[in-house]
Amino acid sequence: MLLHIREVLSPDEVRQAREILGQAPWEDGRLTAGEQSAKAKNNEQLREDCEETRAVQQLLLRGLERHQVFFSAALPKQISPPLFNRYGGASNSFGNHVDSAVRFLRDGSGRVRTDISCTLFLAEPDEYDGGELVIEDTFGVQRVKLPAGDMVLYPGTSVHRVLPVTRGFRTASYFWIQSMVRSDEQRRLLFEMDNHLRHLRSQYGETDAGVIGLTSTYHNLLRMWLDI
Amino acid sequence: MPREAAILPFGALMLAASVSSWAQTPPAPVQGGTLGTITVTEQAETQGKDQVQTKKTNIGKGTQEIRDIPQSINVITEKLIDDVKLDTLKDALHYSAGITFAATENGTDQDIRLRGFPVATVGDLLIDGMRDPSQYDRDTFNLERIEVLRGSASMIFGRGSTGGVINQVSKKPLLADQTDVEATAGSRGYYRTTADFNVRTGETSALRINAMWNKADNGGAKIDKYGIAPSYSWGVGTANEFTVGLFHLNVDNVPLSAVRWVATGRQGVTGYSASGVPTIGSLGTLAPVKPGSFYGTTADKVLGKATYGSASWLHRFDDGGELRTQVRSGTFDRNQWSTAAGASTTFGAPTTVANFSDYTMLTRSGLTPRKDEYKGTYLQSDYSKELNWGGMKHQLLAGVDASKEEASRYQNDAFFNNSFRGRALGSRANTFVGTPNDGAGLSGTFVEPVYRDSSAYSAKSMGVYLQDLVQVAPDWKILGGLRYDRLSGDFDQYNYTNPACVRPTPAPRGYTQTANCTDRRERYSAGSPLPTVATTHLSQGAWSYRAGVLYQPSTTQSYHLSYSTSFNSSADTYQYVSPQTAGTPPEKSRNIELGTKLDWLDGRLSTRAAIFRTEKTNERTTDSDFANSSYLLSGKRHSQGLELDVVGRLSSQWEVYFSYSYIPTATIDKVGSTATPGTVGSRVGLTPKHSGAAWISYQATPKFRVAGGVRGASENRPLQGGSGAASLANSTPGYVVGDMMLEYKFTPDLYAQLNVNNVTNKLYGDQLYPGFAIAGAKRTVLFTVGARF
Repeated sequence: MLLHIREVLSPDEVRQAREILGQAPWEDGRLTAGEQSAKAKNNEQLREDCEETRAVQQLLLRGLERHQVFFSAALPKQISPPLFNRYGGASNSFGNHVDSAVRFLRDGSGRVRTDISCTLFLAEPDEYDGGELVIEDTFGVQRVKLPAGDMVLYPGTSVHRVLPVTRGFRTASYFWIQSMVRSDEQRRLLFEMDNHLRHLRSQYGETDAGVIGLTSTYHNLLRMWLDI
Repeated sequence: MPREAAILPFGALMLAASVSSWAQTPPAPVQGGTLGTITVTEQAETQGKDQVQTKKTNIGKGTQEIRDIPQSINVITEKLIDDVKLDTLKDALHYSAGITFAATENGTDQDIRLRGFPVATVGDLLIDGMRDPSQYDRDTFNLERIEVLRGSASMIFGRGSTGGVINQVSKKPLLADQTDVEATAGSRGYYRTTADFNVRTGETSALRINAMWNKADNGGAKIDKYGIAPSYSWGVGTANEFTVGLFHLNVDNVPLSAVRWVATGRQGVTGYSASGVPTIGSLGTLAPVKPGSFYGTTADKVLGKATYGSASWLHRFDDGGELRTQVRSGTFDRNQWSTAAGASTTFGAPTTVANFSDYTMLTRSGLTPRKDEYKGTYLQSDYSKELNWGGMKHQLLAGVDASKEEASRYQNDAFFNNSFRGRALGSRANTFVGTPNDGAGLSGTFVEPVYRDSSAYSAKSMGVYLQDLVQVAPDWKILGGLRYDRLSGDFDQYNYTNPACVRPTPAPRGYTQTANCTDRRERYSAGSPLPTVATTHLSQGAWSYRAGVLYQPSTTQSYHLSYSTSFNSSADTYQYVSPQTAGTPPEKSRNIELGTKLDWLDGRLSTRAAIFRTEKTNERTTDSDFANSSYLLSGKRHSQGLELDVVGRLSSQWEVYFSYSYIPTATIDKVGSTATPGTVGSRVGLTPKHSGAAWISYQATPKFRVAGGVRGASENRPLQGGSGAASLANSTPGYVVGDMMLEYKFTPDLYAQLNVNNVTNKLYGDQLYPGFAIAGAKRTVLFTVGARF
């Protein structure tokens, strides 16, 4: 499932984030890349342990927390701390790669299986040329370039790349989610059902027998598929 | 859509509380108070009233997947009970293959046979997994489903279960508000009302009340009964779940009448002489009366009362283990006196089917009057747990159970009810075949029997068992189980020196004075002579085993090979206990079965098939029907065959239920020296080769449903003597009976239902006894209006 999630951060928050990140100590992204992806990686990123990173992480997690569609779609069990990268100038692309299956949290507090990959855009599309996120998966090849504050969710299993940025800078946050529902297909069905249910609830109210029945089915499916 | 914006997805509602574990950065508190609790009530698991298919069962004590039980199992759900109008347990069991009914001397209809082995009389009827051995006419109004587990299962249930067990699963409170009420009116003054109220009384508590009232003229036979069963549960879904319940059923019926076998006019082998030479005699068949003909009297009756209380406690441990403790205690009274009618001559010639007509005179005799009172208290505790040991997954089941059963049985007081005292039991006048239901009562001076003690017992039993189902490889499971039972009891037999001289002396004119009347005086004064009581103590223990291999290559396939044993103590019916029998070790049985359970159409359709061989070794070659002639012999018999079940949905319109049993072999292999010659090698009685039932329902339009079914069996024979062998002299031909139903739903919750049972008005032998048969009910039309809300 490839999903565009709107307005995870408000314009105000985007501005705040950009201000902080503008003064942050960016470094070569290849330092953290795995052996294979190091060959493809050519960007800048922020260290996980610096002040600036922590500040924007807070901002971002708060945005995720209140975002109901995100919850419904991702059914998150664990979210790896958001990281930040920047494409532009000489460091302007990231070739085809697959994310590592597991992210080890820096402080040793746990591991996150990368069921879902997330990219949250912090630069407006008109600020830079190129820089599209290209995702190849069962749904075909998708090119993604979203407004600042918006986010894309896509399966961690997919091969993806970032096209070279030929003008300006593309700043984004990226992170991974271990979902309570491991299967992408099941997660998609649940999300669609939840959306349709929302529509039905608005039309027929919460006490309609059909709504109650389908709600129960939704929860029973969750029960069947959930891994908590 | 503006309203939609305010409505949160369930995924969000559910998860928002758990964000703090996402990352090492502590998140800000959730803003805005937008998160609510989920108020929607979870629907309980699909109820028995919704479909004919079921995949889980409680018959293995804990709740298990049917696919994990390596034995044939057949489940009659409330849906089938409602569809076909199966009001009594006996009616319902007509829809399970391999089951037959013996009429006993007392005409009770609860002597059920499964694969040719007795069920009811050895305590293999269960309520919620605990024994229900008393004799009473059971009604289905409080049943959610009936589970028939075939083959030996003493490892789970203790003594009995050679042919299998029949578990009646009671309706339990549900966390929902729902009410079902139904009223039925039908032919022959039939009225029945049932009500099923379920009220959710709190977050985890609910009350359910089931009630039934039923009345029918039934052409001379009569139904007059009511029942009520309240139950209350609390803590549902929590660590400690409790249910308490009461049950009361009161039956005041007149049973369908028994008619003696009628000669076919053909001669054949009816038995063997002492030297083994075949004796040729008249072959008998079911009397060709009109279906539903009643030749009893207005004095015929079967009174029954069942009253019990039950309580259960389910404790869920934090580690996933479950401990379920149940107790049930109750009393059961029964009193029956009914008629058998038969014709030996018609216009002076021996009666045969050929000359049997409306003008054939029937002589009527009263069957032995019967009265008994049972008390039973049952306690059991079962622990189940899934765990990992030695790298393998185990499903452990262990438990203990104990029971205390008491009974007092009565017989006709032959001293008191004596013609010379002017108080003879009433007699039954003759009637004609053409005048059924003639309204005759008893003639005579004193019509109702007065009873005196006949026998009594007080027995205790306990058992302890352990079973493990081990996943030894991805697709393979191995089952092993062991149980030990201990039974002890005291059994009293009352012996009366019956008055041999109640005639005044000297004898009045026309009477012969008997030799016992010495001193020219009557020996007895008024009142019954006191009995002498012979008490026998019985104490026995036995081990039972169960082993099986399950191969489950996918979630839709399960194949099994199993071996299980069972035992019947000398006191399983509490009929045989005398000093002679008390020292006799239990009968042993074993069951070997190879079977498969397959699911189709995304699990909507289940098929189950098995071939089995059930052997009883060390058999007493007597039968509960023949307690008076009981001898303990070392006998042996076996039956083998095939069972097939198909249940579920073929599509959203078609729902099917199919149960079939083929038992080509059911043979007496060995008998004791006193058995009738010719018994060895002969077929076991009450075991037709083919038996089965099918029910198919078609939802023609969203409102209109039509359904129909057939049930039947091939040629069936009663028992002969005490050997368990089939009567050679008498048989009922094979039969197929059709039932049908039309249903119209005015709304999803309001419906009308029309049933025609025994559509072709088929005459068929339903309950068989050496001396007579009781035919099945005639065509019945029933119209029901029901509402659910």
